[in-house]
Amino acid sequence: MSIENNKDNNSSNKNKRWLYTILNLDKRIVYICIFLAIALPFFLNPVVDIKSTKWVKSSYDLVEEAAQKRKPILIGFDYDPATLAELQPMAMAIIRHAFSKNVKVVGINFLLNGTSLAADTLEKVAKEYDKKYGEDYVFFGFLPQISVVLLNFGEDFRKSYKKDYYGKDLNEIPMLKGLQNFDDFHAVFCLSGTGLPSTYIVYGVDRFKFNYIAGVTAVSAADYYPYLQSGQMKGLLGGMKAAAEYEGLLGKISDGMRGMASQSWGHITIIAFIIIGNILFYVKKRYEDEDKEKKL
Amino acid sequence: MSTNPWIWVGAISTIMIFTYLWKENPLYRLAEHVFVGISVGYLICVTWFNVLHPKLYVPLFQEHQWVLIIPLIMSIMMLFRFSTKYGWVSFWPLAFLIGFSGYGIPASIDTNMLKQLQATINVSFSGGIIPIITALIILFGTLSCLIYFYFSFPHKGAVGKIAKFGSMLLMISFGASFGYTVMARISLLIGRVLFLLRDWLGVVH
Amino acid sequence: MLFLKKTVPFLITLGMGIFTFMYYFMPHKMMKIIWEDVSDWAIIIGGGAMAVGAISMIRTYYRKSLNKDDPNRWYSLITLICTIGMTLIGFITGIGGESLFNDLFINVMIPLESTMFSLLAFYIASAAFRSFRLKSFSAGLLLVAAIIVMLAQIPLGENINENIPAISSWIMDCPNVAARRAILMGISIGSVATALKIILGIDKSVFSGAGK
Repeated sequence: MSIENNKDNNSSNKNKRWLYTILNLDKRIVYICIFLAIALPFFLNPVVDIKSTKWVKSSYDLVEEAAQKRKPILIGFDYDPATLAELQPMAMAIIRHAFSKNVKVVGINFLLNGTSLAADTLEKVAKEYDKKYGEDYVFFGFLPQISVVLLNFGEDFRKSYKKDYYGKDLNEIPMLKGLQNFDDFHAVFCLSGTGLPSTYIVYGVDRFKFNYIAGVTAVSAADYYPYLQSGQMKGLLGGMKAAAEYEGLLGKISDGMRGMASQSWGHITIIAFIIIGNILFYVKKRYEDEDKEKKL
Repeated sequence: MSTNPWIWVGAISTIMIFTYLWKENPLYRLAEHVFVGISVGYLICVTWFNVLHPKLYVPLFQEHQWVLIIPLIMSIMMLFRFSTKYGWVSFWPLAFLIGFSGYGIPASIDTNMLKQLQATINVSFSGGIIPIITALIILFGTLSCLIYFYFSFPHKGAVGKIAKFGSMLLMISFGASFGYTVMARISLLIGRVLFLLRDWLGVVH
Repeated sequence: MLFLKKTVPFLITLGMGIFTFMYYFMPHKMMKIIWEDVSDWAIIIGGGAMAVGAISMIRTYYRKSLNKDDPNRWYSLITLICTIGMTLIGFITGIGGESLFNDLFINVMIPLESTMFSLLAFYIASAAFRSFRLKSFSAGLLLVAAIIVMLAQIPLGENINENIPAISSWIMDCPNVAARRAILMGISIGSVATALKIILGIDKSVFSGAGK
C-alpha cells in the first residue's frame, strides 16, 4: 500500500515539475514561437482570400464616386513610423485607387514625425501611375495646431497654407486652381494611429459637413464605431486587415494582402497561448487545492 | 541579398533594436539614443521648413508684414520657460494657445454628446428581430454603461443590476479591443519581418 | 509682479477663451478677420513651442553628457551628435525627397522607430500566455469577445464557422458602440469641465513648472 502511495506521489511530483517548467517557460521561447509564426508564412503562399467588410466597401465607394464626379480627395497622412506597418498599406491602396481612376489627391499632415513619410508615399505611388506633382497630387506638409488649421480649411485652406511641403507657393500650383475648402473635395481621409481622427470630426465634419473616412490602427478601431452609427463618419479602415480588404477590392495585391497569412498564424499562435495558459492555470489550481486538502 | 547600403543601414538598425528581446545591451542603447537624436534633429528641420520659414520668416523679413512681430515676440517669450526667475514670461503665449480651447467646449458638446445622444435615441426599431435587439442594446446599453460610471448613488438593487449589465457590455467591448490590439501588434512585427526577408535578404518576394 | 505672473495669463486665457467660444456661434465677418490673424499666430507660436521642446531635450542630454559620474554619458553625447548632425544635414541638403536628410529619415529613423514598436508583438504574446486568465464571468466575456474578434480577422474564422465574421461585426456595431459611446460622453464631459476650469481661472496648474 505504501509502495503504491509512493508511486502515486512520484508521478504527481513529476507532473507538477513539468507543469511548473512550462508555466515558468523562458519568455524568449514564447518570442521565438511568435517570430516563427509570422516569418514562416512568407515562405509559403502568402496571399489569402479576404472578403471586404461594409465600412471598407463604403470607403472604397466614396473614391469611386469621386472619380465619377471628377472631384479630388483630401488625405491626412497623420501617422509616423510607429504605425507605418498598418497605415502605410492603407495609404498606398487609397492613393493607388485614386490615381488609377484619375482622382487628384491633396495631402496634409499634423503629425510631425510622419511628414517625410507622407511625401515619400505619394511620390512612390505617383511614379507607378506616371502622375505629376502639382497636376495630379500635392502635399501641403506639416502644420501644428490641428484645430485651428481644420477650421481655416473649412473656409479657405490658403489661410493656413501659404506654401506646399517643397516651399512652392500654392497659387503657382495648377491643380489647386478652383479648390478652396472641404466642399471642393469629395472625400476626406484621416490615416492615423493617434486621436487625430476624432479631432477632424469635432473641428471639421460637424461644422463643414463633408464625407469623412478614418483609417486607424486596429488598437483604436473600436473607439470609432459610435461615429459610424451616428453618421459622422462614412467609412472606417481598421488596421492591416482593412488595407488587405481595400487591396482586394482594388484587385492589386500589396503589403496588406501579403501580410495576412502571417497575421492568421500570429492570431492562431496567440489564441493557442491563451488556451494553453488557461489550461495550465487550472491544472495548477487543482494541484494546489489537492495539496491543501492533504494538509488538512 | 540587397546591395543597397541604405537597406543595410535599415537592417542593422532593425536588428539592433531586436537585440533587446534577448536582454538590454549596449547595441540597443546605442540605437535608442541615435533614434532620439535623429528625431529631435528631424523635428527642428521640419518645424523650420514647414512652419517658421513660410509662416514667419518670409512674411516678416521678406514681405514686411510687421504685425507678425507679435507672434515672433510670443514665440521668444516661450523660451523663458527655462528661466527660474523669469519663467512666468512663458505663461503669456501659453495662455494665448490655451485660450483656443474655448472653441472646443461647444464643439465637443455637439460632437461627442448631443450628436451621440441623438444617434442613440434615433435607432431604428424595424427590419426583424436582430435589428430590434441591436437597437435595444444600443439604447439601453449606452444608458446602463453611463449608470455604471455614475457613482453618486450606490450600485444596489435595480441600479446595481443595470450597472452590472453596463459592465458586461464594457467587458465585451474591451475584449473586442484586445482582439484588435493583437492584430495591431502583429501587423507592426509583420512590417519589420517583411523588410528583413524581402528588402534586405531577398528570400521572399 | 503677481499681476504679471498670474493675472495677465488668466486675462489672456479668458479673453481668448471667450472670443473662440463666441466664434463657434457667431462666425461674423469681423470675427473672421480677427480669427484669421490670431489663428495664424497660434500656428507660429505652436512652431515656437516645438523649439522649446527641442531645446529642453538638448539641455537634458547636454547635462547628462557632462556628468562624469554617469557611465552612460557617452550615449547622451551620441544623442547630441545625432541631433546636431541631422539638423545640419537638414539645413544644408533641404528636406525634399532626394536629400540626404530624407534618406536618413527613411533608412534610419523609420527602421528604429517601427522596430521599437514592433517589440509589442512579442510582449502581447507573452502576456497572452502568462496573464490572460479566465477567473470570473466578466473575464470570460472579455475572453470570448477577444477570441471571436481575433478569429474573424483571419480566414480561419470563417472556416470554423461561417457566422464568426457576422458575430464579430455585430459585437463591434452593437455592444461596442453602446460601451464606447458611454466612454466618449464621459471623456467629453471631463474635457469640457477641464477647459472651463482653465478658462475661468479655477485651475491654474497649467501656469506652473517654469525653470525646470
